[in-house]
Amino acid sequence: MPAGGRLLLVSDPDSAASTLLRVLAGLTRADRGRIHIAGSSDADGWGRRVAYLGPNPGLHTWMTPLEVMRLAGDLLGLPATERARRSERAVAWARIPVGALARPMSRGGVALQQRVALAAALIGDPEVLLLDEPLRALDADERRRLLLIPGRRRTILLASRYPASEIGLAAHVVFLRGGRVELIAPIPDLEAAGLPLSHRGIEAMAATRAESAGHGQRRAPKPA
Amino acid sequence: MNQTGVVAWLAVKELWISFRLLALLTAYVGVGALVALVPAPGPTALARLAVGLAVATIVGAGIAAGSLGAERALGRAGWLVTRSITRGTLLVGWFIALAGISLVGLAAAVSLGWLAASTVASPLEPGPFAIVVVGVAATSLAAVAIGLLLGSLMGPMRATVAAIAVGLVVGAAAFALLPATIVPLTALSELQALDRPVAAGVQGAGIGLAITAVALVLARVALGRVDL
Repeated sequence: MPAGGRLLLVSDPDSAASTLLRVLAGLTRADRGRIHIAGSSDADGWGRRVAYLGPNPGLHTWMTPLEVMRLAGDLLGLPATERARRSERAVAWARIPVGALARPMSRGGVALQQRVALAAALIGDPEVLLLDEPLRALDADERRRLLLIPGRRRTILLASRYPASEIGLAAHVVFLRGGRVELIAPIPDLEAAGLPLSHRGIEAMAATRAESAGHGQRRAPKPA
Repeated sequence: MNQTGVVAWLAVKELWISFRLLALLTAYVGVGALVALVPAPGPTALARLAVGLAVATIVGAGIAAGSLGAERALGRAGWLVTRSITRGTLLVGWFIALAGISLVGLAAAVSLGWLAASTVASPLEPGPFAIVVVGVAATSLAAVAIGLLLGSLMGPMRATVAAIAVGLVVGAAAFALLPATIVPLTALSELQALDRPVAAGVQGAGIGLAITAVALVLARVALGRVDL
């Protein structure tokens, strides 16, 4: 996948795309194979270049958003001034209410925790963002706005069980079935084929592509 | 603060907020207070202290198992791992936090126990008592490490129950079957009757630290293979 790409991962079963992102993030062990991200296959170096945002924020809810941002910045080894600058920018992007910044997150509900988790993921200005069903506690419009994360060189992988809700967030769609990639296609190709950005539409395109590839192979002349 | 320090600090705050820190300290200090407040001859007080510390040690194992299991189940361990914290650092940070709290509680308990057990009629030698207490401390560390091993493998509830069950079985077997020279808690209960209490304390401490090391290595291996 080239740098700067925005990929929507859809799978059958639904959990496979999430599992792939968890493997990439180092949360789940791969049975076999090698992972190469951001020019490195050394997972220890990914922390500063790769960020993961899952369905569960995974934050200590007794912490305040400011404490989380300070901790995230410290773990990335950011100098205090740089940490403050990036923290301010990430908090503004995630639209964390000013009044909630110094209060424990347990008073703000899951939506606030997900905003804080997004801000904490962005503080490192990661090259690669792994988004696994993120920000589902937010309303659809707000979620879309927050996920249109700027950065021309930023690579985004977005795993989703509801592809129709991800229109405009990715340029390509990847369909996984049985642990294999069945389809990689630009999303406009689906629209051009009159197919919706849904499980059914993606499966239909995968079937069409597989069929035409099968025809191509049968028609190919045998080597001399 | 380095990464291990950050994890240990987070662990202590999490234990404090969830009242587990208070429960662990109460288990140890409560034993000492009980022994100090209920009058008894020296040997009886020591036996009560040993049994109480065994219970507190099992409580420590249960809290360690449940805490690490909860960190995994709630995704907090995963959040740290995706921010350059290695799984080994996570384990060591939690071990330092739980071991520190256990040792503070133990120090308070044995101080109170000393006041109760060392009477004018049967004074306790401070040297042998201190060495045997070091062995007891090593036993507490081993219990915490075994708890973390179980917490690496299971969810919070199952890990807690398993740690308490393992603690009860191993504790009962050790009291009933093994000689006092290799079980520090038994050595503590029979301190005034032991021929060579210093040797028993040193031997018990060595065994406890060895079990701690093995359990931590196994926990690290287990933590490397499970989902966070």
